[in-house]
Order: sequence, then C-alpha cells, then structure tokens
Amino acid sequence: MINIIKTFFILLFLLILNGCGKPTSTPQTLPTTWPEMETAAKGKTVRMFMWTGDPFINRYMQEYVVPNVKSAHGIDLQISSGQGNQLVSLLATELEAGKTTSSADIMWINGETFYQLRQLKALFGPFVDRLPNSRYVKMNSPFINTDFQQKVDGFEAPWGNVQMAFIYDTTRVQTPPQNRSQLAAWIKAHPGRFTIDTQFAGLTFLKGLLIDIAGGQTVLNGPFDEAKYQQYSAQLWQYLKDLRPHFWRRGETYPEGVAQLHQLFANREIDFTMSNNDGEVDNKVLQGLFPETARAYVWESGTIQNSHFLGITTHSGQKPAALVVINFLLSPEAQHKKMIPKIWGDGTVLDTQKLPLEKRMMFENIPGRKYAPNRADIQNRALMELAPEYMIRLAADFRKQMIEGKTP
Amino acid sequence: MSQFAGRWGAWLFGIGAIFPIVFSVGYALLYSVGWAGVLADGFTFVHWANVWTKNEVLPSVLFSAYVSTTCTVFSWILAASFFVHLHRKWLQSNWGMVWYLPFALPAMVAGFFTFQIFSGGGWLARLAYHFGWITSPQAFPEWVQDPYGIGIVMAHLLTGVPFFLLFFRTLWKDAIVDAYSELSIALGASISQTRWRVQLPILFQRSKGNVLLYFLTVFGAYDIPLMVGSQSPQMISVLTLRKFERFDLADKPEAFIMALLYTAILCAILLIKNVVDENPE
Amino acid sequence: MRILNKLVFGGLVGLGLLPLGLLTVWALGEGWHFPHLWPKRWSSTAFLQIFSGKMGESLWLSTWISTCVAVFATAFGYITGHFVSHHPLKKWLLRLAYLPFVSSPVILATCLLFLFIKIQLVGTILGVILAQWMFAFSFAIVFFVPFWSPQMKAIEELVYTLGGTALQAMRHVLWPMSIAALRMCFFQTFLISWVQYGITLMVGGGEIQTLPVLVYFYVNEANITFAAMASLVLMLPAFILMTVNRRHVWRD
Repeated sequence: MINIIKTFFILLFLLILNGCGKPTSTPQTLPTTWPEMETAAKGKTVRMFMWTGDPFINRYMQEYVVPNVKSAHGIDLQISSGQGNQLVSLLATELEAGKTTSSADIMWINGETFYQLRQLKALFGPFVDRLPNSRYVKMNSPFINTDFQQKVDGFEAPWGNVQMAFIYDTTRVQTPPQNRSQLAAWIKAHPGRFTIDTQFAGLTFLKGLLIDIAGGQTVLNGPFDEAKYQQYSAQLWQYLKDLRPHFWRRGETYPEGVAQLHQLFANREIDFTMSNNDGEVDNKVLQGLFPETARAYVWESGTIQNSHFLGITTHSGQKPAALVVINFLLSPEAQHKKMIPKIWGDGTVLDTQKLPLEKRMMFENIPGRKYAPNRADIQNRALMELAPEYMIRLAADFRKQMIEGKTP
Repeated sequence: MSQFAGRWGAWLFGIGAIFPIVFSVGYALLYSVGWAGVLADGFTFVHWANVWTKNEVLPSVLFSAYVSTTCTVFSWILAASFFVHLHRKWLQSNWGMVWYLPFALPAMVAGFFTFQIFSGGGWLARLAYHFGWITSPQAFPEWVQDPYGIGIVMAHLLTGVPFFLLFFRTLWKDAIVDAYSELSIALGASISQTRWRVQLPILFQRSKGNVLLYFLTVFGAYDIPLMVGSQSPQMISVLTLRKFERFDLADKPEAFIMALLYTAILCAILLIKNVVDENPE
Repeated sequence: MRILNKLVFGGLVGLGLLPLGLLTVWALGEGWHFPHLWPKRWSSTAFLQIFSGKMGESLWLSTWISTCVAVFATAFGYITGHFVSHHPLKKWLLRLAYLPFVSSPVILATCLLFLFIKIQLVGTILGVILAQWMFAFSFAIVFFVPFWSPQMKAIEELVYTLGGTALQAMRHVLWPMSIAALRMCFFQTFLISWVQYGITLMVGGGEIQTLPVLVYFYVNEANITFAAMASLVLMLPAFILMTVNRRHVWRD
C-alpha cells in the first residue's frame, strides 16, 4: 500500500513539473491561396466557443450558420458555450498543461477578453487580411478597427457592431431619463425600481457613466491611466453610493447576468433593463419575454458602441477550416441575415457602399425595427470603448465598493 | 474473491479514491505559492497574505457553515416531527411515496423551482397580489438572493426534509421503534413521553452519521447558491469558482487557497465524524 | 386530532407533488408574467423539444453517461469495498474514501481541471464520465464496505472449506447474495451522475451538454418554459424508479 501511495506522489510531481515547462507550439504552414484553404478545410470539424445566452442568436447559429458551412464547405461546425473570463481561464489552464491542440478553434470575443488572450499569446494572427470577405468590412471606422482602444491588428475579425441601449416599458415610464442627473432624480423618486447586472451590460453602463463624469470621450481615450481612473472612479462610486439605498434590494445584491435583469424587468420588479445590443428589444418582444410596450433608447449624453469579434486560438488544430467559417460569417449573406430583427438584429460590420448593388439593396430592404431606435439616429450618440483595464478595474471595484462595502 | 479483490481493489482504491485528492491538494498547494500557473514567477506567499486582507474568505466560510447548520437542523426537526406524529400513515399509505419525488429533485431544479416560487415576481408573490396583500413585486419579502440565505435554505429543505423522512422510514423498521414504543406505553408512559424519551432519541442516535453527511453536502453546495444566493456573502464553492474564473488572472491562486482551506475543513469534520462513530454515547 | 393529522398528511402529500405540478404548468405555459397566476397561452414547443431538439439529444447523452458511470462505479466499488473492508487499516481507508464523496464537486474539479487537460480529456464524453465516476466510485466504496461484513467473509470461506472453487463461490453464493445490493448501488450512482452539474460543466468545457447543464443554459437564456421542461425530463428517472420498482432500488 505504502508503495502504491509513493508511486502516485512521484507521478503527481512529474506531471506538474512537466506542466511548468513552456508549451511548444508546432508551427503550422497555412495554404497560400484561398481555394487551397477551402480544400484544406473540407471535411474538418471546427469548434466555436460563444456566449449562448440568447435563444435567437443560438438559433441563427444552429439553423443557419451550421447547415450552411456544412453544405457549402463541408465543415462540421460545433458550437460550445463559453465566454469572457471562462474562455480566458480555460485557455490559461490549457497553456499551463502544455496542451498543443486547443479544444477551441474559433472564439467570439471582444475587449478585455481580447486583451487577456493577447497577453497569454493565445490568439492566432494576423489573419483578417487573408479572408476574401474582409475587403467589404468597414475597416476605416474607429468603432470597428479598434477594440477597447486596442488596434485589432488582424488578430480578430469584426463580426457585429452594437450600441448599448436602455429598455423600458412605455406603460410604466412616460419620460425616461436621458442623462446621469436625470437618472439620479428618477431613481430617488422611484426607490427599488432600478438595478444593473454585474457582467457585461452593467459594466458597459458603468463605463458610460465614467466617460460622462470625466467630461466626455476625449479625456479617457488612449491607454489606461491610473491617476485618471482614481480621480473619476472616486466620483463614480460617490454618485452610485448616493443612489445605492434607492436601488433594487437597496443595492445589497445585483442580478448575476443580463438574463436575470431582463427577467426582473419582465416581472415588473424593476422598470429598466439594458442591453449591449440596441436591437435586442425586438427579439425579446418576439420571444414573448418583454411586453409589446417595451422600447429601447439611447441617452442624449451617449452610450458605448462597440464591435464584437471572432478570434482563432494559437493552438487551434483546424486553422484553415476556422478561417473559412469566419469568412462565411463575414459574407454579405450571413451579415444580412444576422441583421434582420426577427433573426438576431445585430448591426453589420460591412461597409454596404462597397457591396455590389443587388447586395446593397438587400441591406437597405431589411424590415424595420419595431421597438428599437434607428441605427442612423443613434450613431451620433455613440461613445468609444475604453481601454480594457478600465473594465477589469471597474468590475473588481464595483464588488469592493458596492457589493461588499457596507459603509455608505 | 478475496485474492482478486485484494489485488485489484488496492489499485482501484489508489487510482480512484486517493489519487484525485492527493493530486488536487498537491496542485493547489503549488499554485498557491507560485510554483505552478501561467503567470507564476517563483515562490511567494503573497497570495496567502492577500487572501486574508480581502475579507472575503472568512465571511464565506462562516456563511457556508451557517447555511448548512440551518439546513441540517431544520430538515431534521421538520422531518422528525412529521414522522413521529404521522409515521403510521407514512408507513402504510402509498401516498407517502410521493416524497421520493422531491428527494430526487436535482439541486439545479430545486434552485430553479425555489426562484420561480419565492422571488419578487414569483408564484407566491402573484398569489399575494391576488389576495390584495401586496401591490407590487417589491413589497414581497426578500426570500431569494437575500443576505440571510433564506432562499438557499428553502431550496435545500425541499430535498433535505424528504431525505430524512425516507431515512427515518427505513430506520423505523430497522430499529423496531414500534416495539420499543409499545413497550414504553405498556410500562405506563404517555404518548408524549414515548415520543420525547424513546422515539426521538432513537432517531437522533441512529441518524447522526447521515446528519453529518447532509451537513457536508450543503456546506460544499454550488448549484443552489449559484441560482438563489446573494452576491455577498457567497458560499464557499461559489466564491472559489468565481475567483477561478475572474477577469483578473492574478486572482487564480486565491481560488486554490480557497480549495485548500475547504479541504482542510472537510478533513477536520470527517475526523470528528469518526470520533462520533467510535463513541456512540 | 385525527382530522388534523389527516389534514397535515394530505398537505404534505400535496407539497410533495407541488414541484411536479408547477413545473408542468411552467413547461407548457407561455407569456406568463407578474401578476398572472396562470399562463396566457399554452404551447407544446418545449414538449416537442424532447423528441427532436436539444433536449432529446441531452436526454440520450445523459442516459449514456450516467449508465457508464453507474456500471463502472458499481463494479469497481464492489471489488474495492471488499478490499477496504478486509484491510487491517480499514478505518483509515474508509475515511479516505469518504473524502471525494463529500467534497464539493466544483472545488475538486477546479483542482483537477489541469490534469484533465493534460490527459486531453476536457470537452470529451470520456472525460466527463471519468470525472463523475470519481464521485460515484467513492460513494460505491462507502456503500459496499458494510456489505462485505465478517459474516460474508465467513460464508465465502465456508465454501472453500467445503471444497468449492473461487468461481463456484462467486457464482453460487456471493453473486446471488449481492444482486440486491448491486442493483441498489447501480441506481444510486446513476442518480449521482444524472444530477451532476458543476463538474460536467468544467470538465465538459461547455461542450458536453447533459440535462443539468441544459437546465442552467435555459435559465441563463431567461427561457423559463424550456428550463421547466428540461427540469421535468431531469426528474424522469426518479419518477420511473418511484413508480416502477422502488422496492428494488431503495433500502425499504
């Protein structure tokens, strides 16, 4: 018995020592031309990790994308659930274990996930220029070529573009607040009817407030600035702590994610919900979760607009097939389908002016949004994303100041 | 069988039962002092020091202990008092079998169910609205995601009470409690004396081991506190995973420190269990 | 008093049925918000998912995984229980065996994730089976240790004394005596695996969508109808066991 235990100890430490060594990546040579790429991709299985918190998005992937890449390119696309910090911790553990072929090929990412994956050198690239459809992408727009103040540099391909919007019910709220001070007044007049979630939507809301407090976009542009963060975030926490007693549940707890926030709104526990996607309200009404009197709007003082991207892992074993899938997702057809409110309602990253006439017409004839604001009308209210460290710090400090900080 | 089991049993035991634990503890230890991990740069106690300054760990351990004690005590008392009063019906009627159902309710479903019933927009709140007791969801008492863990406790009671009811059902026959009770009554004891002096003590003595097991199950629970728990304090499993998957990679070692603390607590409790088992009186 | 008892008993039966009843209403109702007590519309969309959709796939996957886990945990637990039971250090070994069984699956999985990645099992069915098996196996050992009592050993030895071979002892004596316990252990380990969420999520890497993972997935979509339907499917085995052959499954 003792011998067996001893053997296990030795085995254990051998394994760990092995894991501490730097992983060696096997350099893969990719085909040079696109037809060769497509040939190399045929018959392969590609695994894509994405946020799966929306039935419409899931349906778009399962019922449109998966069958189409199968029939057009012979690729088996498999969708897995995983986003943001989960992805980072999975890939970090894979690197620690020295795994040479990642379990993920394509990942739906942006902002701080992009930043952390770049830090880990877990992203393959630059690859965007190799995609034939990338020529249609509106690469000159700062909202598309920059991700949280970081140059994309071809390490992730833009997939969609959205703007943060607030959602309310016209039967409950007649004149929704349009800026920070109006929101404060509204919350104080309606105690317990407002809250934010602790994930992406809530953090984007906080970043919008931070930009507003700092006096506009230009102040916080550029790389993370500790002094500025300290100065303006102090004012942000002051603002929020002042309102905290009037939040839902007196600000002692917050919904875990945006789905819970939506549910609270649907059950009339709170009067506002929010979404990183200005078009989401349409699909939530169609799902029957929100009442038909729900509307999305954007503050006069602006909200954050950002793009979401597709990245490929450094250790993906199926890079040609991953490239072909991403190229398909950027095609005018797939982008058009995705933009239809009934399907997903996600803004396109293509510059429709660059498209041939018939395809441009396709985009211009998308049935209008019923409950969401018009894209063109909110463009001038768009704020740029901040450097990723702002979000990482806000997430940690929100917990410290607002959830755990007991003193008002 | 003896020879066969002796040879293969040792291997299986080593691989299946000992190795995972030894590996986990070893790996967590290395990670917590900066000897493993992608951002590790050499031996350091800085993570151990950090954990204590953040004032998250102790509240979480205490909160977990409080929730599991409450769940255990309430489940046992409720189940025992139902059983002592209703055991005859319970043992005879087929309807008693209905309680196998919630017992087999997976934690995930229990959490979901509790949320749908007890939240501000939940089913009970709607009933209260129709009776005119409340006019909006806000007026409904905070029973889920509340700082006192009421939602977590209720979700666990949903499976805990049936767990003890079913256990008592078996025990009642095994320990021939009916015979003892009849004896006690024949000797002139009243029904309530029989309950307090005979039935309940037997149930308690014989269920001590299961009480401890139930306590430990709740102590490490994840699914239920994830769905109906508040964000502060969080139960130990939820906190560990949150640290493991946090935005900030630098927090990962703290997750492993939590795991080590949890294992240490578990070992301590198991030792107590052995002491209890060896000295039944 | 009698009437009160009857009432309380009836109430308890009702309470026991409540989850089943309400979950059914949630699973078939749509457009159901505060303060409505009853759904506005009824719909079979969620129900049909069982036959052609994600839920059906998950049902098969879960059945397959749990069956494997239960078979291996029971078989190995049977053998290992024997080993532990007759070992001079029985008391200590039993303590060790308890440890994985009472550990929080997610915490143990956090520490073991590295190992599973190392041996290339993350995101595979085999990995999930192995991870769940650890817990079920530990339970099975604890389950079988009291079964291999000194009396059992005496009976086994009696067979040898009377000139029987090991095979004969197994076939004619031990096996018939073990069937009931094996069956019980099989069903209980099946259930342990069936309801496992945290460890499946971690080791499955979000790819292996068993029923509990699916329930949480729907909850996260704020899709109550589907979540309730998946919950009902998740309760199915317990329901079957309860109605069909509880006597074989539970220590009754």
